[in-house]
Amino acid sequence: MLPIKGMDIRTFIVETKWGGMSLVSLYLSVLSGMALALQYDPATPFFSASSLDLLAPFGQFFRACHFYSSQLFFLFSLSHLAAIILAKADQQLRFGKWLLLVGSVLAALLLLFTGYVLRADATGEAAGVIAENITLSIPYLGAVLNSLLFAIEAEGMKRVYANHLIGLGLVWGICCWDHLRRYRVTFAQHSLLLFATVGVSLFLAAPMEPARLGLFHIQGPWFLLGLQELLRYLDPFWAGVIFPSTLVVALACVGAAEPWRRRSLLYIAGWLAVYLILSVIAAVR
Amino acid sequence: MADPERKAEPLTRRIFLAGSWSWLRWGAGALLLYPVFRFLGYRAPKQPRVVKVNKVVPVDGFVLEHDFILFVGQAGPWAVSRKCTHLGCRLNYQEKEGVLVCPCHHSRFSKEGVRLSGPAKKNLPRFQVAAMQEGQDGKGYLVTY
Repeated sequence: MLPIKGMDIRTFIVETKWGGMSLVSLYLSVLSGMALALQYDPATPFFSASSLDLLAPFGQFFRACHFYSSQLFFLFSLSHLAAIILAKADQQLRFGKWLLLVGSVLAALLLLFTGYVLRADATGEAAGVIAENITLSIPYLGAVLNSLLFAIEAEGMKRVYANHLIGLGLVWGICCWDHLRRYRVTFAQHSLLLFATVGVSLFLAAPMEPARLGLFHIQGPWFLLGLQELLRYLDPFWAGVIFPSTLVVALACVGAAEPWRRRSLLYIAGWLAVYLILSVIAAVR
Repeated sequence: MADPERKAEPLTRRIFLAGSWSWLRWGAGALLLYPVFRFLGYRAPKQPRVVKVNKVVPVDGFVLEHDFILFVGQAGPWAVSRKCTHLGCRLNYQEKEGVLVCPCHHSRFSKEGVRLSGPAKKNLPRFQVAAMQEGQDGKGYLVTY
């Protein structure tokens, strides 16, 4: 849906049903993910993911459907968050509930990220070990957090798979439980989006980049390009933990009263500008 | 604001026990986290891995394996890890320049594993290599790491 004549960008963002579209994309992502989970084997992740594309009947379609619907789920969630902030609807929520919803964005990000890791191609494998090493750089808590989330070096994809399949979905569900109890969204309300996603998945395979000789440059997932660039200049703890954490804290403070809300929004705008510049630099390398 | 007229409720044995019971439950819950974290954090000791490279590499040649790269020079064979010491990405060998390059953040290492440039701070680990005798185990090398 594009802005129509007489409707400015702000009105378009605030009035579009991002939340509903996000939820329908999630439905599709979960359904296609359940189909993939029946075939995927975390013991041989790359073989398993590439077999889905090359050997399993309709495997390429299911993988593409899971990939594109998951991307849309995350993008629409971010748009929904932007719309809520623009409409100042966050001010009607209790601070604790706002924190839970911010937590759901983090869980969604991790769900998307672990999906990249699980395909275990050159990008996925690199993304996984980088995430593990960044987590391990956290003083005192690093080893425990890594055990909970990744542990790829010691366990392969076992824990990442368990988290992608159950753990992170559960965290997302807990964070959104109260929020989603109030809204009911059905497939029928967003049938056009549904048909478009399925249609694209029929013709466009999800990305896969096999490790090969002479691979001297890997670009991370689009939402981590800025982080990949920052890791060239800063220590992993500062670039991978402190810098992203400040955005989460600022997002949490948006739910607080003025003047913290305005200050946080200014910080978020600055953060996003820096991240965008870093992402562009990484993309053109 | 607290009502100044309202007196604090006297601490009776019932109130004390009820409060203690609540604290005990919280404490027991927190204690349960300890075995959970200990359990999740445990790592069985890693067994040394021995990989057989079943080919004879000419002098100045190399073999790229999943975890290491084996070089053969005038003085004999040696192997270096393919795991970048910055954030663990898998290195590739740029034969033209004779350097190992990290595809993630472009750290560079010499064939001997010495860090040359980029965000990595440490050199690459070197692995033990033994040449296999012809006739016993076939031709090639055993790399232990």
